[in-house]
Amino acid sequence: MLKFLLTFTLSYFGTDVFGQYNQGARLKAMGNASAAVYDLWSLNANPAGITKEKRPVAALNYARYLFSDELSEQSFAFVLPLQSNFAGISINRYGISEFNEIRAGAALARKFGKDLSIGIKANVHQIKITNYGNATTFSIDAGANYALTQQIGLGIYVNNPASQTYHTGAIASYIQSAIHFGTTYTPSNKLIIATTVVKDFERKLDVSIGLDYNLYDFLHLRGALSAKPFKQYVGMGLIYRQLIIDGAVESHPQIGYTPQIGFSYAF
Amino acid sequence: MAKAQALEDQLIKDLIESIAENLPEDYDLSELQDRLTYYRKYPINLNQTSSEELKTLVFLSPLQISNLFEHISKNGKLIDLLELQSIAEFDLPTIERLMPFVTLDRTALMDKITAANLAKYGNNDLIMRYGRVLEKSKGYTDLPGSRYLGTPDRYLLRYRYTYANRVSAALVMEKDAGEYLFKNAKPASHFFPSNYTDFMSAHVAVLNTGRFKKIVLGDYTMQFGQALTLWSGFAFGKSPDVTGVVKRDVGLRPSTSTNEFAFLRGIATTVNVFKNIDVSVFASHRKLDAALSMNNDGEQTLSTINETGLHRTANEIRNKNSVEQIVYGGVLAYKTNALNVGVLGHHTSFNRLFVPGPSLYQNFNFAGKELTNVGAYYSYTYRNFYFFGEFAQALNAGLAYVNGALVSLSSTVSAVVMHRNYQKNYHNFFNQATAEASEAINEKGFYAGLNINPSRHWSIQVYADYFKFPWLRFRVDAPSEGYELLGQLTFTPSKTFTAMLRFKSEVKQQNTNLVVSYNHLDNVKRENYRAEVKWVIGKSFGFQNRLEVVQYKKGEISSEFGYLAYQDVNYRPLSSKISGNIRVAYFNTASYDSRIYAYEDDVLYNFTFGLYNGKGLRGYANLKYKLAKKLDVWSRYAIFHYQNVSTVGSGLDEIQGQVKSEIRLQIRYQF
Repeated sequence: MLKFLLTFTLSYFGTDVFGQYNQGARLKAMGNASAAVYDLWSLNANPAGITKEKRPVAALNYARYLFSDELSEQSFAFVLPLQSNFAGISINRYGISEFNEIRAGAALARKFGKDLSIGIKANVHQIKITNYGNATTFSIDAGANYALTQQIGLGIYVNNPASQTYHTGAIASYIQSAIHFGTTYTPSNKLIIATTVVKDFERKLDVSIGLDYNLYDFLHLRGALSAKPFKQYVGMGLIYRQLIIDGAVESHPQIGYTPQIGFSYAF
Repeated sequence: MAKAQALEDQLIKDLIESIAENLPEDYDLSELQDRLTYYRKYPINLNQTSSEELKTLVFLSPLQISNLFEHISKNGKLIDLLELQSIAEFDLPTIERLMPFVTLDRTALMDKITAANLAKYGNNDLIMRYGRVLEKSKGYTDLPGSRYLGTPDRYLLRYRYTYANRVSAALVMEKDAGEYLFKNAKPASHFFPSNYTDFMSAHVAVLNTGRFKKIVLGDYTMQFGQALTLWSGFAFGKSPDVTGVVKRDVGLRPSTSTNEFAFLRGIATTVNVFKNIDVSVFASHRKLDAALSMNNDGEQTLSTINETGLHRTANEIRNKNSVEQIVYGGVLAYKTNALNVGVLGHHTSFNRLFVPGPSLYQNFNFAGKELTNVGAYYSYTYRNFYFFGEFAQALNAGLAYVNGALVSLSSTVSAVVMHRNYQKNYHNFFNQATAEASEAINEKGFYAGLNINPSRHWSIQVYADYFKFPWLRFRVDAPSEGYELLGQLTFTPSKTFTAMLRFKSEVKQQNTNLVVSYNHLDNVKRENYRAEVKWVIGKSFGFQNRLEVVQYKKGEISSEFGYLAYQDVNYRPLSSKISGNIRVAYFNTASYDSRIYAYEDDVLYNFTFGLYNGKGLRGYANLKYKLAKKLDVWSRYAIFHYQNVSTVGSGLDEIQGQVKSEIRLQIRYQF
């Protein structure tokens, strides 16, 4: 019964929660203020952000919504740099066994000179609900990053500009259609402050600000805030040679705490 | 000479103006201005100072102060003030602000206390002020019931004496509008003859005598730690100066404030008992105001202490001095450059019984006659981190604690995080810790602030505070929560131009206005948008424009708006005896909920916070004239002209008509 209720609730209410795809524990700890940030998980945000990877890198991420026994999100990402071209794939699964949404995508990004990067990603979405069947659709993401000065970077990307949805009346699910604009301020090589403004075509404006502080060589501390709704984020990252472990906790006024953890390995 | 004096006054005035915005509304700026003027005359020797002394320069952050001592202990004494630039956290604006008040030379002070020195080298500062609302308010008419028994004039006399850094003394006499003058129903205290003004305050203090760092007889304040256990007076709270939530505790200080409530009266001392250990002990006996009622046992009881200090009507006069409060206690403090630890304890007792009020939200209020508080505070500097915190326990009642860190993330970015938890039954009569509510009890919260100065021209401040109230509050019939966000951007392309944008959003919860069988909570949102421009033309004229919009929304009712626009003009030529400023403002607020506050210039740099509520025009003009070398005169005329009303104000302050105007005159004699 509980599962049925959860399924039912998610199909109507869950849209607010998984509107934004999981961007990995590092970017989550920075409040998803990732429009101008470079990270392998930019695959799920601004595809142009994958262009600072120096080696092929793979990552796994797991997020758990504490208000339910089962609700979680699992993600996988992989980026392959080829000189000034970058390719990446990502797979994301969100939900419980009876109700889940899977999104898989492939991205291509390219660096133009040392200041500009442009990326594009094509996604397949599938939603599966027990006893209802499943529905599939496609969407595109595109973005660009530009280094304005040595310390200031700009980024912009669009999710699903064509406002694709699942073409079925049975499911009131929603694929986020939004434009994100962000900046990063890097006053030293130990600190990044990122901000992003999101305008979802259906909803209001949201702003977030996050920071990543490299306290020691092997340790990063992160924290962030976002405005609508008011959420707080905290996280940290540990680096051991080619392995990076990131953790993050998001605090939402109604949903409560959502911890997540991610591992990435550079080959 | 006059030029130098005017320049110095302007410097201090600009400094205070820039931080006045960030101060609590009732903060006594005249005390701060006195202190800064004193440091202009007797600059602080950076090679021989203490963290306590530097904290009195309110614009220095605790991290800057501990970094300075760290630098001196590593590299020896400072040789040149420009060396400050090499100290972490000392950016150019801070150094520019600091230079007028510090030196590296051994100050040539006449140290000995002798009658001759006291007379010859002492400084006297006498201020007399008169003010009055010109229109007659209802309280002064012949009413059968409650009315103001005194005259509408306001008087203030303040005399300060300082001798180097050895002796200080002061006398303050004040009469508020509506109170008696030269006729007092009740004595102010055992020490003073009462038939002058309603409020009198005085102190005599001797400083730096052997091991006795300070000895104060009379009125004083005690400010320790993070203001959770022992802090009388006022503390900075949340403001665009994000590091302001970290308290600058200055310990024992004589009081020269005109605030009639926030001080202790008796005797106090700070003694250096051992190398890094100071002990402060104090005792205070006060008479406070409260409305008394009789309980079933025939005992006089009270629920709250009245802090306004107004004794105008028969009722207020009857409540004057109706409760006696005795407080005594001590603080043991250990200080090194990086570490600062203290333990505190004090006991408060009353001669009347406190009973909590009848409403459910008052259920955990203080009851009884005695209260003992203990606490411990710490601050520790580790590289670019400044950790701070305080734990406090009210015996047989609740616990409270606050912990946080101030971090210098890079040379241009600093951040503050702070967590607080004040239990609903944490009782303390000297608690001024950072809180969303007006009293720091029944609150849990997490505050994060960021201060970014990417270049000389740009400055960004952001903070967010998330808070919860575990128990009920006034007009809030359930546990509630909320948050506050602020963002400010300042652009200063040159010394003559500054532009500023500020956004502030606050969401809290309150009982719904709808008529329902039981109250539920509605979200109350208030958002402020402000744009401001300041510019200087030539050498004498300054202009300031501000536009502010506030949006207020409760529950599902549609938003209401308030607007304020003002134009300020200052005239302050360096070589003239005259200076002045004028403001013209237009305001239009839908109701009291969408009111707007803006600080206003006043006599003797006394910044007041103007309340703009209703619809109308506001204007004021201040004029300062240097009558003689040691004599300054100020005058002020201020007027509110409201539209679409037939009366201004309410209750006994109600005035017929649409206008409320006020004059103020002040003379200052320094000798």
